Amino acid sequence: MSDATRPQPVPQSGEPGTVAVTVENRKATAPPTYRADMAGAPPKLRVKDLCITYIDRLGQSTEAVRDVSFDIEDKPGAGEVVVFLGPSGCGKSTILKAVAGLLTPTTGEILIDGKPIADPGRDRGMVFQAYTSFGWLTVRDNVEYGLRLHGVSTAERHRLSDRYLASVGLSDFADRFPKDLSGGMKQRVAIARTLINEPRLVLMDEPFGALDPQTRWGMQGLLLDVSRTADNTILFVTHDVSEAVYLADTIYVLSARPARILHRVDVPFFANRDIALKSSADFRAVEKRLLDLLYTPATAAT
Amino acid sequence: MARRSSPLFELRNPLPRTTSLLLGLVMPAVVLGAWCVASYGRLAPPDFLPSPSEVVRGTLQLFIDYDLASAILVSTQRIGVAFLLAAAVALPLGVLMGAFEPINRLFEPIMAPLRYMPISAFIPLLILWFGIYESQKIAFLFLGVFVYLLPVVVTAIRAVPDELVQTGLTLGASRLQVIRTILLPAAMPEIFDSFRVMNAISWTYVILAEAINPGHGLGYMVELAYKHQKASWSFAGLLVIGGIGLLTDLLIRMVSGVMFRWREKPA
Repeated sequence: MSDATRPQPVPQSGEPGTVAVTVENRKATAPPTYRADMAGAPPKLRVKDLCITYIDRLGQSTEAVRDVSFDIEDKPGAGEVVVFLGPSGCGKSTILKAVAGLLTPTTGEILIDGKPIADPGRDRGMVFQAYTSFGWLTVRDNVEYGLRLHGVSTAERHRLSDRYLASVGLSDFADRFPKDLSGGMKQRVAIARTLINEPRLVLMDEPFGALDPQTRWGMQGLLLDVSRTADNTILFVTHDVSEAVYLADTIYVLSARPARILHRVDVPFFANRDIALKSSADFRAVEKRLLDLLYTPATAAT
Repeated sequence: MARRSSPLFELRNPLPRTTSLLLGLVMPAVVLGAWCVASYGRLAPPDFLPSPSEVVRGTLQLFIDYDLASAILVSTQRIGVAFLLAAAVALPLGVLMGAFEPINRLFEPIMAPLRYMPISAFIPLLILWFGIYESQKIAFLFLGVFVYLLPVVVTAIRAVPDELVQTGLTLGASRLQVIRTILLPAAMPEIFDSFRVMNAISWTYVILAEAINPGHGLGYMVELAYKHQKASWSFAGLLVIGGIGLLTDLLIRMVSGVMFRWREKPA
């Protein structure tokens, strides 16, 4: 699949843009890439000229995001993981929160299926680095939280929560309270609780950042499993290069604050992601390329 | 070095159960012993310091001849009513103040100075406004509890992590649903904890309130002891109030333990 068929992701920045890792069979089972003008359907997510500047109480302004534009096409039936990779504190979480509707862009547009977003909503579920299990609810009630708000019947809720609890391996803990769970399990609760709502977009803000490496690998595998079996588009923020390469179909490399998109990298490992992949030469090559991109002088200059 | 000197005095080290129990008995035993020596040994005149047996007799006297039990009941009821009223106002107001900044800005300027005013200085005003009967006592207790409870609620609501609120919003909760299903339950343990302090405050204030036109209640008993110049009754009153305080405190802790079983144990 050549880049010419893909929508140009960075129309505004004038940066070199796409550094594709060309490997055949990028998506053996994926349907052809849709283009907005081709399919007639608007992109699932369009972020256009997004700028976000914080102004604190003293009137001091901090520019967090500058001129970020990208599209995520709607590809029904195919899960996709788009990763934002950038240095800590660069403003990548700010982009995610803007997409969630949790903060208002200073300028620019965010459209879901062609419609501008307003308030936060269940179509954009978010998973945070901090543990967000509702401590007063059992694991099952945590997972069913969104369904309950939505007025889904008890029987239907149970059927769905059974399925999602199983998919994150927490069936045996359904009736426990979060205080009995490890950090990784709490994040699994958060993931199941978000996915059960079947959001258009799953926004993940360094969700595995607080976990130890082994748990982290396990969680990455789990995320790949659940994202491939369901029709989920995941927007994932991390500063961990290896995590980005392992999870992503597409990586946007961001600059230091204010965050700008420096490069887009298409990652070729769709079908065969297992833990062995991480030590393969191909994987290492992509990692190295990303590290080079992250630490070129262009990145440092703002 | 073979062994560290004393495991008992490790920094912040929990004690073995029996050691802890025994240590807890030391000071009460010392005080009781000193009391016995001073009173039975005639080191202090009996009018100043009644002996333990005198105090027990005084307590029984109060219970039998002066109906101490119903006095306790009356005081408990006053505290209960005042507390419910205070909670009925402070909870919703505090939740709204904690959740919505404009509401906080609106009320904070009148609530903040109130906290620094000595509550007993309100008594003359309350007598003026509410008279000297039941409503004045309730109003006084209400004020005492309310002034303390409101900032606790506001702080507890504010202490709920942003991420929980944001998670709720992105799971489809409306603002009011976030308040009801996230802010309130997350803040509840802390608010409930404050009930213990308020319980202690209430038992102090109730004596103050009942000292005005003492018709009935524990304050009346204390007043009675003063009129009759009976130190043994004063002691009896103090012990009874202390005992009730401990019991209610235990009750609150037990209820809290059951209600908030889900709470993370401090590491």
